[in-house]
Amino acid sequence: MTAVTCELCPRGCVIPEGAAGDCRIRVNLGGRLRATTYGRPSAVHIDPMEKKPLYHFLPGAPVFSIATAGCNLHCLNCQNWQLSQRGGEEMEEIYRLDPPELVRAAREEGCRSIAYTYSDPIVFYEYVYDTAELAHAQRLANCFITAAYINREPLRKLCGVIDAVNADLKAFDDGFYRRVNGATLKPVLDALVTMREEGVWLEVTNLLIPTLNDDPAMIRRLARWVHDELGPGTPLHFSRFQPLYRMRNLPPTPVETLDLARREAKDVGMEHVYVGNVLGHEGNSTYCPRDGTLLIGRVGFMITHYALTPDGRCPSCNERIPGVWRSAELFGEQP
Amino acid sequence: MTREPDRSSRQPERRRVLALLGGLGTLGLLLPWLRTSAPARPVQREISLHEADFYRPHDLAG
Amino acid sequence: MYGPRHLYSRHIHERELRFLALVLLTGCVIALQLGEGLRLAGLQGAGWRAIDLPALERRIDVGNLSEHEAVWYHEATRQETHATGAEQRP
Repeated sequence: MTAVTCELCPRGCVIPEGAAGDCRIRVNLGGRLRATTYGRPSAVHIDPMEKKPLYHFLPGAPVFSIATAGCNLHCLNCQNWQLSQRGGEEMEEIYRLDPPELVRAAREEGCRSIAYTYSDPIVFYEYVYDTAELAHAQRLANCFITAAYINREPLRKLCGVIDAVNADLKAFDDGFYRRVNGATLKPVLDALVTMREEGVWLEVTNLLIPTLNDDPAMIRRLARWVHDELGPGTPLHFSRFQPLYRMRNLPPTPVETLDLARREAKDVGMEHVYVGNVLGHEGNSTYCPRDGTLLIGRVGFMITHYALTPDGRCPSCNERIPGVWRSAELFGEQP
Repeated sequence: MTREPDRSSRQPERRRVLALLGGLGTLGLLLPWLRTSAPARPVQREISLHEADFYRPHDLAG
Repeated sequence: MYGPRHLYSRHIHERELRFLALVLLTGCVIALQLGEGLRLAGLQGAGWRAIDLPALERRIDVGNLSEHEAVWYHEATRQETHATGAEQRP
């Protein structure tokens, strides 16, 4: 009987034959570790890029979004628990979409990008990697929506085929990670720094949960860390919590808390701070950090106003706004 | 000195009611467990690309 | 009192014994249940999960799941196996 040790994420699961890792989908069959959901997603949708949320990456583009079962975190407030907290053998719906079919389907639907999202795509790493390579070959961008609980070496390799990441930084507190997410903070911080070093476009989301991670001092520490380690131009999204899954005892985040978080982050020098899950909030939109011009107006996931120049500058003061605004920036002009 | 009224004639009836309640309670506790420990069902829907509606509304985050 | 004292005392004694036995039995069942829960929680903390293997294999056989080999793993060393309880069959 041969046990195997998974090296993908910091859990380092040692998995006996016939069992799965903590993520439920990496299974030891006959002494070999199998990615059991490879090519078998359970969620396939076309979403706007703003839903990921990626606000500085190909705005308004439809993105072919997929996920398989499984996750290496177990957040008490998980919104997608029916997908993420189950193994492949427990899913009611399965698509057969091996990487070539997936890339073909995305192109046929008119999507110029693919998002690996909903659950944590780290756990279906092989599927992501093979698809992303094929997608790049056909000039499709790859977006990775993750909690960034991954080891450095696999991440470095993955960064070679990923163009944009929205990473969930759940709190700037290791105790919170242990209690609420079943994980730890340090590997997440390390992963974010690695992504920045590898040159992947990076946006960070922090979901504010009343009483658990909404302390202004903690928000300030988080924003300062993002400012110092990832850069002041990194878009930072403060997102509103909704009571779900095993955390229905807390109310939705008050808008005042989100406003306060936004002010704290701006005070430490963050240039693009957004408020998510609050329809019509001014924090949904992008403003020039130099002169305050409204550059991209958003209501929900819809773009209502677009004033950026084609090369991503403020039309009033010519300030360059960090981001990837056209796919030509990734692949060069179409031949 | 007062004597307790003799209730012995009603005891078998009570016993039956209690047994019924106990049985129902036990079933109530066991049923959810039995349901979750049943073997996983086969895939109910294997969605082909032709019938898939990628634009159908969903409530998945991310 | 409602009857001869010795009858009353013996009656209470028997009932109490039966009751105590029931309490002890219930306590044992709860202890066993908690112990099993703790054992499983300990094993899961060690990083693996027991799964419905026949269901998984059935789905792999019909093509609803895959047996694509993962990357980023190695055969566990004896030390890793022992330290995490992975020598036990799930």
